[in-house]
Amino acid sequence: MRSIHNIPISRKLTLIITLISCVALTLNCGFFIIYEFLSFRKASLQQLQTMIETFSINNRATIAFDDPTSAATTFASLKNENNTFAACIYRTNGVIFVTYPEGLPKEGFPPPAFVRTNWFEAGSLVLFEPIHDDVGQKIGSVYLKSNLQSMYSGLYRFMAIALGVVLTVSIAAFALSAKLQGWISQPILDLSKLARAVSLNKDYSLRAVKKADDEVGVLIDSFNEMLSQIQARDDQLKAAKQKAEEVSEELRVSHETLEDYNRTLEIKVEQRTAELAQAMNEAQESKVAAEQATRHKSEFVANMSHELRTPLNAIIGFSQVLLEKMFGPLNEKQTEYTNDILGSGQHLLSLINDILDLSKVEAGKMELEPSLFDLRAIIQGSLVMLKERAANHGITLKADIGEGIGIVNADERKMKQILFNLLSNAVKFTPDRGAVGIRANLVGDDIHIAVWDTGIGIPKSEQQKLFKEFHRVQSSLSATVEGTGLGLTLTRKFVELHGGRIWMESTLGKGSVFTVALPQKKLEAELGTVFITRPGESLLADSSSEHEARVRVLVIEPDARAAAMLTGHLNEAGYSVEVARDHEEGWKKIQARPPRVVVVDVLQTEGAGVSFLDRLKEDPTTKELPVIMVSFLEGGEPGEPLTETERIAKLDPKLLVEKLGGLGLRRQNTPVRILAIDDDPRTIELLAASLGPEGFEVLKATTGEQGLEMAADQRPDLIVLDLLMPGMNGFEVLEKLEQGQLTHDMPIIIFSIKNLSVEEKNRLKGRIAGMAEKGAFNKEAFVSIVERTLKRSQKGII
Amino acid sequence: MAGKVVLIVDDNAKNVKLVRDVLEFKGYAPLVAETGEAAVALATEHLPALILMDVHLPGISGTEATKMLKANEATKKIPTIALTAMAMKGVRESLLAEGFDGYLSKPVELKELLELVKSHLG
Repeated sequence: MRSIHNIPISRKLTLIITLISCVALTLNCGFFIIYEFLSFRKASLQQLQTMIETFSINNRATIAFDDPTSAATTFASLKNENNTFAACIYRTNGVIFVTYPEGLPKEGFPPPAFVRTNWFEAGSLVLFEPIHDDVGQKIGSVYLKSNLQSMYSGLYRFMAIALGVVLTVSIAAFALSAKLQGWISQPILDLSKLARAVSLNKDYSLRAVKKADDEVGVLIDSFNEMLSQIQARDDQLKAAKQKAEEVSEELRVSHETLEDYNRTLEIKVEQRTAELAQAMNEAQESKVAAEQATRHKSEFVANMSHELRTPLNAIIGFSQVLLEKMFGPLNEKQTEYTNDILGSGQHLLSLINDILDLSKVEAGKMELEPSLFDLRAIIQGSLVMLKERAANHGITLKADIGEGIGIVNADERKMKQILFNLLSNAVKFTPDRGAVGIRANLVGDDIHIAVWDTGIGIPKSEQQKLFKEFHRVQSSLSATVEGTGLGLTLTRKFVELHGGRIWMESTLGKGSVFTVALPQKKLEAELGTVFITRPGESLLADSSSEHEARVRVLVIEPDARAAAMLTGHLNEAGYSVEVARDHEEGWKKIQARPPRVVVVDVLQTEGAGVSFLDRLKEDPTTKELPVIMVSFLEGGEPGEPLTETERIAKLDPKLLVEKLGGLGLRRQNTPVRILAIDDDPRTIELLAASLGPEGFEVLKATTGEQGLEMAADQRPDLIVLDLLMPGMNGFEVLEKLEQGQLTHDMPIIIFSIKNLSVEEKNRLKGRIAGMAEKGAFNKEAFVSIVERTLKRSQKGII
Repeated sequence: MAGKVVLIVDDNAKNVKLVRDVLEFKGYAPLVAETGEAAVALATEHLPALILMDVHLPGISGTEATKMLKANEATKKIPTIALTAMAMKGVRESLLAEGFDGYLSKPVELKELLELVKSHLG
């Protein structure tokens, strides 16, 4: 069913107007009809009342005279009336006296009433009127009943007219409202249509036309305003959208550009990579070529050196034979010339040696062979070597060695060469009765060794070129001094190999100072061990349990510095050390807890030392105790030439360690067993020959497979492994060892000639305890690596 | 007196002469071989008290000759000293590993040579 709400506004308006008109008119007519009805009734009653009163008066006599005929005539007037009547007259006794119309049955009349009364019943009006005589006595009553026909017909007519009016008015109202509603509804409909058009077409530029300034006008204004706003928003939106599209387009374009760029970049990267690869190849090739050239050069130098040495052998040898006067005396001139020949030969030899060294440095073949040694002793030793030459020229040698200069980890041979070169230069270029000295001390983290002289000095113009090959300072003195021109170059190279620096300061005519700075920290890091130990420091700090497992050595040494130095060396070599300051303290310590060896400083025990030794030999408990006598050089005071204390061999800590090893103390318990895995039996023999005397038992395996088997069966304390082997190579052995339950924690030292690539070094990193190169085999260095490794692995040297 | 026999092995005539003359002067009886083969033959025949062996020789090297001598029961006890002009690092160790009993580098210091000879022959 269609709801009334959904019909169009125009229809609604028409309907409402029509309905209101009808209802108003109908109500109006209704009121008038009711009013007319009531008026009719009132008029009818009055008319009939008048009529019945007339009858009452007219019949007074008839009743009194009992004349019904006359009485009937009184009702004759009723015949002229429009309405139909029924009437009668009652006597006081209730008997009907006369009726109208005549002859009407008396039973049809109601019982009489003798008071004036009336009522309406069933479309009829009933009246009673008493009849009075002259004295006012009731003598009867009149009854009159009218059917009100005329009243109703009038009423019906009126109602018909009213209905007609209502209908007419309704139609007129409908027609009019249908016409006039447009006045209100049309703008709304227009607006609605427009709204629909706007919403359908999204055309916000449309505007409703305002026709009046009424509420609809306001609505239209608001609507238009709204449209304007929407349009503005829409425009903004469109603009924004357009902008977004533009931006998106730009983005797309830049993305494409970027992709293009990327592609270009990739291509460029590829090109560059290719170029780089090519460049690297070329670099590699030139590196290989350069290496080859360098190798050829050093081979050439080595060969040349060999070829030159052979004739020099004869030159130097025959000169010496002549000077020895084996086959007869020489005259003065002959002696002089022979000396010249010998000197020149020796000069040539040192030249050849220097060239050989230099060529090794330049080929990168010169490597450090670090070991622990006492720098103090080396410095003093180098002075001793020049003592004779200095004495010949009346030159005073001085040494000033500061506190803290002690054990270093460096290349001992090269360090000697550095010091000897500098000192011999200083002596060479110092006139007779001058002074040459050496000063060593710690400056920050560096060890500074300065060699000074009161010599001829070096002009500023020469100072820059000083460290260049074959450069020799031109001076009156230099003409008489022989030299190779290579010494300082080599010295600088050696210093640089140690990560150090060398520089010089000189004043012409006053002298020169050459200073070598060695970085203690850097050497520590690069060489992997303690570089220098100050007296009383870390090397003494061993755990007591470790001490128990070690051979105990008692050192009797009053000089704390020397004691610390010795302790350091001995600890390093795996001994536990106790220090006594003098014989008495030493004796007490021996009595309290006998050591396995006693080391006595001879200098400090002179005189008394003999009795101390006697005391040891006489006592049955100490009779067998091995005693090693050592001597330290006195630290030369400035100005005081080195003393004659060399009559007892100066102490070389390494020698001491070797001697202690030679006592066989280590072999008392189960020897430390070392498994050597190498396919070259000679290498194994070399290892056995080097390690055997040190108290190690060397197990031999000539293949990787055999080595693995022996490692698992024999459980060696250490493995020395070659990398290049037929069959299973060293890398594989290393891996297998790592995987083995019994072998994974065995310390391994790589002993190989192989030049390792970075990748191979990384493979080894963290898996091996040490490395030694076959080509540069040095027994002491190797043994020291082995001992350090064992110490680290806690298996210890017993 | 007949000095102890010392076999000098060297292909360089001047060097041979130098060592020979010095040893003769010192009262030893030098014997000279110029090749490794000759050295092995002479040593086997004369059983010298000491051999001074140059490493670089035409034909078989001094090292090989020494190995042959050390392999022979009769000659293996003879102390054999290497003489070489090679001055490279590790030469000494490798020579000792090859069976030599001692090592001297050329040019030889006369004093050093004589001391070494004396230490082996007394």
